[in-house]
Amino acid sequence: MPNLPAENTQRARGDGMETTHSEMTSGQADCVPSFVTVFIANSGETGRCRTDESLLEGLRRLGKRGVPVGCRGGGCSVCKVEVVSGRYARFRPMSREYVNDRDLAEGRVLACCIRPVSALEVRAIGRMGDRLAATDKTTTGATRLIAEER
Amino acid sequence: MAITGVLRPGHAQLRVLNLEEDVKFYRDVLGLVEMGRDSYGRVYFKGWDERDHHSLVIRQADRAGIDLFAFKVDGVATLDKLEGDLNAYGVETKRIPAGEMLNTGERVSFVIPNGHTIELYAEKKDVGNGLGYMNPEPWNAAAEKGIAPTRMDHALLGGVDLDGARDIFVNVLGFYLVEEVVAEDGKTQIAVWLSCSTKTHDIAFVRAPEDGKLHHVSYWLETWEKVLRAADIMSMNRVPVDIGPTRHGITRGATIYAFDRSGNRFETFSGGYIAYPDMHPLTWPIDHLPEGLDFAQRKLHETFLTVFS
Repeated sequence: MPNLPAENTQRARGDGMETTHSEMTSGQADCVPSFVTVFIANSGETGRCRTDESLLEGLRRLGKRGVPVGCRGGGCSVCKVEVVSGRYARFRPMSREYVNDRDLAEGRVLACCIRPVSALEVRAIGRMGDRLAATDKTTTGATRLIAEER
Repeated sequence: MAITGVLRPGHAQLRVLNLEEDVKFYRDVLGLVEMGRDSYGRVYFKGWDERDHHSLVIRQADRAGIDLFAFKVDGVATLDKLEGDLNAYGVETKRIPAGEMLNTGERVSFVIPNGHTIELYAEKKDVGNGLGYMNPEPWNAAAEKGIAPTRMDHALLGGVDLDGARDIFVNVLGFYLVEEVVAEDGKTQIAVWLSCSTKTHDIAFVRAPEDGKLHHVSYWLETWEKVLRAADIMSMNRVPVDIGPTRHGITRGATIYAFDRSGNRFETFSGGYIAYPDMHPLTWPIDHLPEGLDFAQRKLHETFLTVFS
């Protein structure tokens, strides 16, 4: 995995570059954070997210639920998004079970594994995404969720 | 000896997306003891109070999840007998030679109907917990490094055919049903907690849309206070927490669900009650799953049924 500074990875799609997690946490943490606007097409939510943490973490801390929160480690895929527009950097590996080369080339990535670089428009496409949006948070909702899975 | 046959969970082997990050996580944050590496690059760990060589093995991979979950049995004769019983039940087995895994004897490996690879073995090197077998002190420095669970305790595994997986454990391996979550029809099991001991569970299964999925591997802490200490350590180290700290209604365990650096869920837990095979199983209708999972908040956590690695 090439270990490049963040500035070199700003072109988002198909660049094949990844920087490491330590790159994100060292050096930048003490700087004044910069923010970009993120629009979630499914839910119509807009958030102002930091560029030095994962897209998912930024949305989660703002309470934006349009992108479901799962393992936050690249392993489960519920936060999979299609980046409709904007630039981002991939900073850690995603499970190949859920993100293949074509996904990477076409901007379908896990929100927990990318950082926004410019303003982004994303669409949640994870397995939970549409279902959760349509499912209320009651017990009945839970039952329906299971019924759909079985 | 009252506990015979299958004794306890012995080891889990997990896939991680960045080996060195997860080595640091399991060693420094969870506080397992690093026990060595093998020629395949796998890294071995154990809980500080465990005496056998290892209980967790991790390896570099391009996808997260669990390779296998293994149980120790009470001797080579039992291993042979259980292999015969599995074959007679229609379960294909294969032998993995001694030494394939460090300090571990021959293993009997088989795939159960929900897609998980299960292993049985009789021998693993007793390396001790560092306290000795004469006049031992109750704990040592390793007991306070990181979260420091005493042992790997159980796993919850997901897959489509819960019934087939359960039947092998109950009908062949001698486990008994302790608790269950059932669907609205009152009988279809959504999840089961099975024991081969007096623990509330040595393995659990949940019905999941995909086979071979890991829900979590669980690690034992001695007190609720230590579960709260674990929560502090997780937050200090930016560990993504899923649920808790809270108490499960199911099994009554005090719990935190969280994720390693590759999205494999783990649990740190304590408490529960002592189970015996003659006890009537406890049933949770699906509409009571919220408090079964999180008794304090009585709210549904969707991730319990949707997030797997």
